[in-house]
Amino acid sequence: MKKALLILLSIAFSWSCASGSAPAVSDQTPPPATAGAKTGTPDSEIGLAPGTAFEQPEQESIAFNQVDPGDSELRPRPNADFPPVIPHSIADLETITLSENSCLECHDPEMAPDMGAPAVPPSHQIDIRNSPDVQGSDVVGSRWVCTSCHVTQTDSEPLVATSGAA
Amino acid sequence: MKTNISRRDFVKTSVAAATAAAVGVPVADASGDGALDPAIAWEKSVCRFCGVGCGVMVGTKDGHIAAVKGDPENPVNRGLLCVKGYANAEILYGADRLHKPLLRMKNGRFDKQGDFSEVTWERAFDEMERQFKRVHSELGPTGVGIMGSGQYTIPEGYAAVKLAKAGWRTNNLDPNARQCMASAVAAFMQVYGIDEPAGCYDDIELTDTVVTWGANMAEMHPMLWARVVDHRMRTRGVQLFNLTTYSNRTSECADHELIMAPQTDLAIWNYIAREIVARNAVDTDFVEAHCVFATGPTDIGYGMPSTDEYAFPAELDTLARQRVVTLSRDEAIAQGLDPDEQHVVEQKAAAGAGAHWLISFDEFKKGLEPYTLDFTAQLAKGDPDEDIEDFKAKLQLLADYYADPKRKVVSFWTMGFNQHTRGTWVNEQAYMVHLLTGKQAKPGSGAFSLTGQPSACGTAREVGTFCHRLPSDMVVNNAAHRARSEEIWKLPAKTINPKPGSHITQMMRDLESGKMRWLWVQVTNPFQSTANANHWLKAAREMDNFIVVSDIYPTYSCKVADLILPCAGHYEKWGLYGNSERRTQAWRQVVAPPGEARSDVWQMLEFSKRFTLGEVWGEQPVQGLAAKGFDDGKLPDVLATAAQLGYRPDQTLYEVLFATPAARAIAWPDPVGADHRCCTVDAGNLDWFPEKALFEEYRLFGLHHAHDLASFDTYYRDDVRGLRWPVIDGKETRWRFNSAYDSYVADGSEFDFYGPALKSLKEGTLAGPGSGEPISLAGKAKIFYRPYAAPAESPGDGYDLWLCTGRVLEHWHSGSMTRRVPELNAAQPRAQIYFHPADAAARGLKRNDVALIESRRGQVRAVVEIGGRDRMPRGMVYVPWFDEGVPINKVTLDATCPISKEIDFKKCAVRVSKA
Repeated sequence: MKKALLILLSIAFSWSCASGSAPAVSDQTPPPATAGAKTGTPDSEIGLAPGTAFEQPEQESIAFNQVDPGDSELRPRPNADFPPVIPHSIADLETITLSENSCLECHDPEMAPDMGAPAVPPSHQIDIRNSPDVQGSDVVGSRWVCTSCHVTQTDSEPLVATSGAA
Repeated sequence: MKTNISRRDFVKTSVAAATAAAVGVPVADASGDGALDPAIAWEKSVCRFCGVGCGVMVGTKDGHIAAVKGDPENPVNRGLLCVKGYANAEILYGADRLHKPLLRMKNGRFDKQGDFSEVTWERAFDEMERQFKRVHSELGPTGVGIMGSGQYTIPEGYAAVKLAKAGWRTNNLDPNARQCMASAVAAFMQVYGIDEPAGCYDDIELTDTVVTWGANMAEMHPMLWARVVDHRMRTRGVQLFNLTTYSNRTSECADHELIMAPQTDLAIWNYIAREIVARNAVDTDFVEAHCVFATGPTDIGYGMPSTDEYAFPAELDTLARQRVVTLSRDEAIAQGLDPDEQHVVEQKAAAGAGAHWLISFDEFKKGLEPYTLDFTAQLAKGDPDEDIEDFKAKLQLLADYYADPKRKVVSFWTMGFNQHTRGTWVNEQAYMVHLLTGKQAKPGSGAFSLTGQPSACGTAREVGTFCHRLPSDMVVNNAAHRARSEEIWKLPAKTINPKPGSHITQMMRDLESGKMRWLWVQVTNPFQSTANANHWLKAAREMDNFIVVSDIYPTYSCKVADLILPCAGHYEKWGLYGNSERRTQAWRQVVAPPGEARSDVWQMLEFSKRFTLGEVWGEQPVQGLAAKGFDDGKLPDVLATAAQLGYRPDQTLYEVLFATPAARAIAWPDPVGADHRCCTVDAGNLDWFPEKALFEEYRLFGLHHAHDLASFDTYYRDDVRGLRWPVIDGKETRWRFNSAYDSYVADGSEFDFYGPALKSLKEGTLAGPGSGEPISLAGKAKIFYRPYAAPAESPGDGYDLWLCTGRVLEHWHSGSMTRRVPELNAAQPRAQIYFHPADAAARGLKRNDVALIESRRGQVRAVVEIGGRDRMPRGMVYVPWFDEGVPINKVTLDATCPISKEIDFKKCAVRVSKA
């Protein structure tokens, strides 16, 4: 868990604070010989938000990626099949309509070399459903909405470490 | 220039090319390319996430998932996935995976105020058992329950049904799917008498018109939306129409967008129906041969508690509308009443909201009469800045599309309809229009309810993990259905409890009132996902109860659990899911669960060993039970009858329900699992195959009952990518009720709406049923008239904004898996509150400021977004619910559709200020 994210907590509601009265449910049997290895983790220290379920995490601004398209660098992928993430801001570019695709203005294979941008690969011009054996020349409709697969990245740190595919 | 390459080559080279293109290096130099790494073993599987049910290829290397890609052989998605789909490769590998059971303890003993300590599985089950038996002995079967899931695998859901309903004799088993599509189910049952869509995804490529109603498919069903966009772009004349309460990504690729005010979908459907009648566009032959007209009561309340006893003071005014409603002017007009008079309506039918009766076509037309263009437009226009004439033109165009006999239409909807205090009604209205025009159960035409979860259909609905259901559309309060279940399950007669249990929201209310004091949460995160959560969090921690949460990660619900059980994740176990188009798909375990994490099936089987028949099959109190053949208020002792069946009182539920002779005959190892392990078998050291045994037994319920599934092994065949039920002689069914495709249709009929439920009704008028004898409606579908009704709570009285909640593309539900994927977290690190610029400015809020969101029920803070993917009309904000740091369900209202009991997460009143 990323301790750096631990931030000030505030009590949301007086009525929502767990009472300190004695528990009604308790164990009446002696503990087993093999008690767990790890003991004493309070519920405020598990999960992705610090604090108990009754506390309200403070919020801070999100570290949006403000890098312009031309200034961005490719980011590593968790595995070779994961769609490349968008390493730049698309705040002013997020337009993908039936007639307009602002991503292709730079990433279309015909434009990409001049723009210094990665080109949409040939796979995106093959219509797998209707003519899987034909290499076409335009991005197919089923891949038209780029942002279904390619997502932007804020500068937020991972919430937990991962040993995921890499 | 076009070149021909084989599909296999394509799959290999496209991945390499995509990689190379992205990193800017030649293919030959691309390092770490999954497709070119011969050490990766690929296998067909299924996506973990939404109801689309994409086929994936999962690649493993050294006991670890190395990559996931789209399965080009799977007709659902043909090789493509959304970003969540690719992230399947990472969801199991967050550093805080649960490896051992965790129990709240102090001084070595369980203590509800204690902290979590690791314990053995035996110690965990000891405490679960002790607490269960303590509660069960005091309260009987209704004191215990299970909250399940539309993400249960089919065997998991079936095991839960059998354990709860056959073993513990409690009907307190209900899934999170209650909050996902219960309204869709209720409408299917009322209209067709059988659950789930008539059509299938093939309709997309066959239609002329796709209308999305309250379904942001571009984000929530991305690969189905990819098919829609593809079809639109390649086919001249196809039109896409998005009806929504705010502008979203689905609007971007739509030809037309209609921004409607919350709840006014009810009025828009009636306007369309009225136009169809007025234009003589009714498909008279179809309607006369295959349909009847019906309606039901309107004084049905809002599914809120009938008591104020547990309400916060600020909730009392909204709660009062459960008992008495003063009709708004629009409601009065919509119900054909004088709008200049005050109509104070006691909500007398709240407990019998599902009642309905036949009406004549003339009565139906009379109901529609108030829904003129002018009335509907002023009520339904959702963007205050839109010109009313522009809005009217859109309504007329929409009516044109539905009314045009030459135009095929598919209507898709999801949570905008289902999570709705009149959710059953609005689902029924979709069928109303499609049936009136004969655009139903035909290729390219149909009203199509999309589901949110991967097995909401396959498990929650088909297996029947609802508090009123049994497998295969059967219900507990039907003696014949109980008898059939008892026969298949080899139970003594009257084992199954005939009184429906508590639905999932009611279970929360039961925790609060102390009626339920032992709860097992499986494959869901209800303390994050249930509206009005402050009540339930408090109940969990402060009442005398014991809450078990089984999960793969420590979720928000785990924070209020007493015992946490570590689970095997998706690809760490065997499973089958059923998607939105009735397609049942299967996957094998390809990696082992970590540490002592165990499959949910193993957990249920193992826990069932803790109960003897003598403990659960004796006489049991069930408050309020009243059913023919039963003494009031109790379940009979069935041990004597059990003895006649050869059971002994000291036998365990494990022996009687699960390790039956038939089940144990399904041996492990099994050829279908060659080169694979099964973590349930491993943990239990078994010589039989529980997942297969459970599925094969479950299948008996549907065979010859219009729910036929293929054999377990069939779904695992290399040449099968799921099959759409009913599967008859190995053949799937694409369009039900249509004689050209569905072998269940009676001979000589072109269409046969053969569902058996609710097919005997009295005749009446809009005012109520008559006194005559019920009439049989065999083979007919019902066209319902349902009026507009105002929401349970609307802006006003200091809470001036609508709040709508939902999902985002990058995160799945409560985010417990996807927020642990670094790329998805970085894309959507926190839930934001989406604002119209003017509403934000009026509150002194700028983008990225922190806002305080308050309702009568609670408050949360969130960062402001203005614009972006969701562009709100003035007067409404949107907050996704994936973020446990922004637990927006502390704010939302737990009003439900009174028929389906599904919460309306789309409408409540809030105020927002700068935090």
